[in-house]
Amino acid sequence: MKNIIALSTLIFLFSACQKEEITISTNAKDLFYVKNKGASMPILVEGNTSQKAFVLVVHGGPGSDAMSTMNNTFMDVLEGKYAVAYWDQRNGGNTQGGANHDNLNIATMTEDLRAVVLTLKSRYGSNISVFLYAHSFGGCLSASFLTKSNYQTLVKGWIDIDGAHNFPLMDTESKKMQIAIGTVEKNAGRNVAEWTSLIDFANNNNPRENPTVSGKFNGNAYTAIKLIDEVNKVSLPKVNDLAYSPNSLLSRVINFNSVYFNNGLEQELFNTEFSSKLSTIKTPTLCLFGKYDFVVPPALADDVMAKIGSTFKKKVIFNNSGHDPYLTETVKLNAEIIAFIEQFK
Amino acid sequence: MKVTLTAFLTILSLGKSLFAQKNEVVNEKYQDEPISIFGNFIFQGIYPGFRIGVEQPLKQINYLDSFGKLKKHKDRAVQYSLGFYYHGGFHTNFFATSEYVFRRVNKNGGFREFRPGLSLSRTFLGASTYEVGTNGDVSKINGAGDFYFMPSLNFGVGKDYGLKNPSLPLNFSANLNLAGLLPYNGLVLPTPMLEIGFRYKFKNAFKTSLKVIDKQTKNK
Repeated sequence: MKNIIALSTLIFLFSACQKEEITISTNAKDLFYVKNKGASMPILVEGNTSQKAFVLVVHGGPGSDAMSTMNNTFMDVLEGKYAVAYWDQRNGGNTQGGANHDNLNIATMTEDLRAVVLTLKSRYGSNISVFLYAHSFGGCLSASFLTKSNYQTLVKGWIDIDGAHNFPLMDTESKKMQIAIGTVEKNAGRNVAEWTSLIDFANNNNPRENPTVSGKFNGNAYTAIKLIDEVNKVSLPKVNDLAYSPNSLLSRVINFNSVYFNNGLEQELFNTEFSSKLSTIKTPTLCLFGKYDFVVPPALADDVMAKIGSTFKKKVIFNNSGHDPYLTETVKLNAEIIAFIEQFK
Repeated sequence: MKVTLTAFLTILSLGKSLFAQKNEVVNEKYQDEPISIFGNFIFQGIYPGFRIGVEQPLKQINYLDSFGKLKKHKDRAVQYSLGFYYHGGFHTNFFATSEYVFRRVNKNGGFREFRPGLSLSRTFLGASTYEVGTNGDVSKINGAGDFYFMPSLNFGVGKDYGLKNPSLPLNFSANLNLAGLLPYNGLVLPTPMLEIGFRYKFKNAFKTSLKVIDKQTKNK
């Protein structure tokens, strides 16, 4: 009996240590977790919570993170005006959990996103406006969320930054782009050897053959971006993982590999597309794509524009950007986002 | 190449037989030995912690030179401990550990040890945690966290002051504990820990039976 009392006391004490921080201010920094199907996912809310407009980062990857990778100086302007919620997805970043590979799929991650939105509303008020700031794979996940049931009513807008809502289309367009732009660059005498290698691979392989070949095209796409002189080069201040308490560098490394250790999600994504469901989305949508994004080509923005059911839809192409326009054309991108949020918050 | 290798192996085997010494068991007994208590400060990266436990000695093999003087001894023991570390915002990890000790102590009391072990770990998440029901209700979870297995390989060096001064059965050691939380999102989360601690043997502590073997060097 004594042991049970001691154990209960210990658990109570450490429950008490899990302090609740709900800050309404212009400089909030709240951390909390959402637990769903074996994953304990951290959400860090930073910035101005007093305006009741929340930018929810749906990061790329899968397996990457928001709390560290997406939380940098390029978000300062947005944090000054709104609250930015950095959510680490399951098997990504600082998300903790056990043996949960069975739940590593788009359907469960869609439910995770819903749980995060509902928790934000529960903590900061049901009247807050939530905008999905979706990048790369996050574009796929947010498309899944917005096309499921009536989930889109939970958010006020979709900011689709180089979002991969259609993987087969992404593969074929990436191949086309690598050949087309690569040929122009090669003929102009720029990085001839590198482009020759990329073009030869693209001409001799089909990215739709299997996820491995698709992955190789993906890797080549990142290489291609680096070869384009027009893409702005950036250097960001390093985030010190050790000093930044909620972060675990090792967790980030392990989780990134965890996603690809079990290829179930990779296999699922290979055939995932939401183009056929885009007409059901009525949410205001802002597509922001880099002109030289060989990873998720701008053709995917055209696909969204052509098929989405939203009354408000806008596409902006960033001429000096690849896959990360928030890094390479920060000011212009943030200006577009702020105008969008101000219109629909 | 083949000839050189053969010549090298031949010389090696000759040398071994010419200069070989043999340790013979000269004494074997069981004696009552008190258990030790130990406490370690833990640094999981920059995150602090502590653990406390007991060590139960199992076997001690004393190696004596040809004059009967102690050269070194090898110990086998088991350790049971409770510990935690605090990684603010991430989690606080409590663990109950059992380790098997392989230790080699030289005549001056300096020692090195290897301790494979297994822990049962329970983490408590570093901030308030919520779950959402199918109907959309949001509720807070108290004491949210996860159970993990935590296998570990612990390597250490230290000094046993009790060897030269039996009235002071105190040890200090520094250990690198290569542990990992398992399963962590289907894999293992490496949880390396630096441990600095002490071990003390109280005379009046609970006693356990220790097998002591003396081995003496005999020239062949």
